[in-house]
Amino acid sequence: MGVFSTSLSLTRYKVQGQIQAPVMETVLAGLTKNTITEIDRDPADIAVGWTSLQTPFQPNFDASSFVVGTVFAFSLRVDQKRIPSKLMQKQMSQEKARQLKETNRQFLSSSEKKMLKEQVQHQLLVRLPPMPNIYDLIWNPEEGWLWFFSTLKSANEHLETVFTRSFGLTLIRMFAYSLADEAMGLQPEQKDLLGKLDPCELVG
Amino acid sequence: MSWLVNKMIDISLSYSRFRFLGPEFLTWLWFALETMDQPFNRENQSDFFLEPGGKIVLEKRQSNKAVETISIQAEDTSMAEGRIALQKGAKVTEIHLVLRQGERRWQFCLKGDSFHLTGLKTPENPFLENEKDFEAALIDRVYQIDVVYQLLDDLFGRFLNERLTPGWPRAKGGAIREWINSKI
Repeated sequence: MGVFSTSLSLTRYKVQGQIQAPVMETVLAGLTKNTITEIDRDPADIAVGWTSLQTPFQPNFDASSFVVGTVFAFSLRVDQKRIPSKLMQKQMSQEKARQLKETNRQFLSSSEKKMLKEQVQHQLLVRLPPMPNIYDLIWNPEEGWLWFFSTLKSANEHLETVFTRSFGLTLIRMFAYSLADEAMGLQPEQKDLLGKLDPCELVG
Repeated sequence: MSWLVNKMIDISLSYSRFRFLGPEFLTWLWFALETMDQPFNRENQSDFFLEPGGKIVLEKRQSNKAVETISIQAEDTSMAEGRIALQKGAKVTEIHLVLRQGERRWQFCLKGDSFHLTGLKTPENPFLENEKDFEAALIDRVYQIDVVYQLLDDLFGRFLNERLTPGWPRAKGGAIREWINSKI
């Protein structure tokens, strides 16, 4: 989902709010504080954070590495581990058999089964490598817009959360109504009409 | 923070409440492309040419809330089947477009509900070898995407000026109704 892909998919946002001055330092601090953390050999199942556009697997933000001309360019990385259901089934079966043999019993209680499932999940998550997904973004701080190079609902939701946490600004998705209301320079009377619009019939 | 939560609720509610606006714009856009020599009227846009890209998706919402989807892929840009669907009350929810400026060619799909741009192909694909290439290529890529957004925003602005006229679409001469209702 990169800015240099041959076929691009984009979600457009308006950035609501003012970046706290000094701008570069504020953005750098937000990026550094919310840089993706590695979750290899860690029981976490997901990590979401910023990374460098050019070197997404070696995130490195310094004074101006995210500035290109008049825009900021960096990426959101989402590392996620998904345990295949058949692997989970196999591990559960083996662990269950081992526990029954050790305790010389025929059944496990439901709370024991629940605990066993959590243990197996934990063990597998530590061993499984996460799958990284990288989504580039371009942010024009002067004009207050942002392009996110994905239309996936989950990726956009991660972006909106991490962006607000990092910079204290809100992202507003630009669909027909919000674009008209926020960015088309409508006159007050046009805005009034916009807020009262109903679907119209084009036939008959 | 409560301001932020309220704002997000407003956005979410307005997405549902005004969901019809995007498909109305795409329907108007198809009409504009079919009936106007060129929809762009700014001086710096005079050498741009926009045309349907061969695929249109329409939806007709039934009274029982069911949605009928009609997907039309055709080389014939008049797309008679699509016009018939419009006559039955459907609206365009997805339109593929081709933008040209001389030899340069962009192609993309615009979605009515979300205004997502998908499948965007720009005229040049950059070849990156070093840091300088990267910066120049990124600036060029931003320009190439911005061209599309600026032209679409201008068209959306023109649509809004018509749509926000009381009595539309009968007002403004009812041209879009005439086009939809005309013989195919």
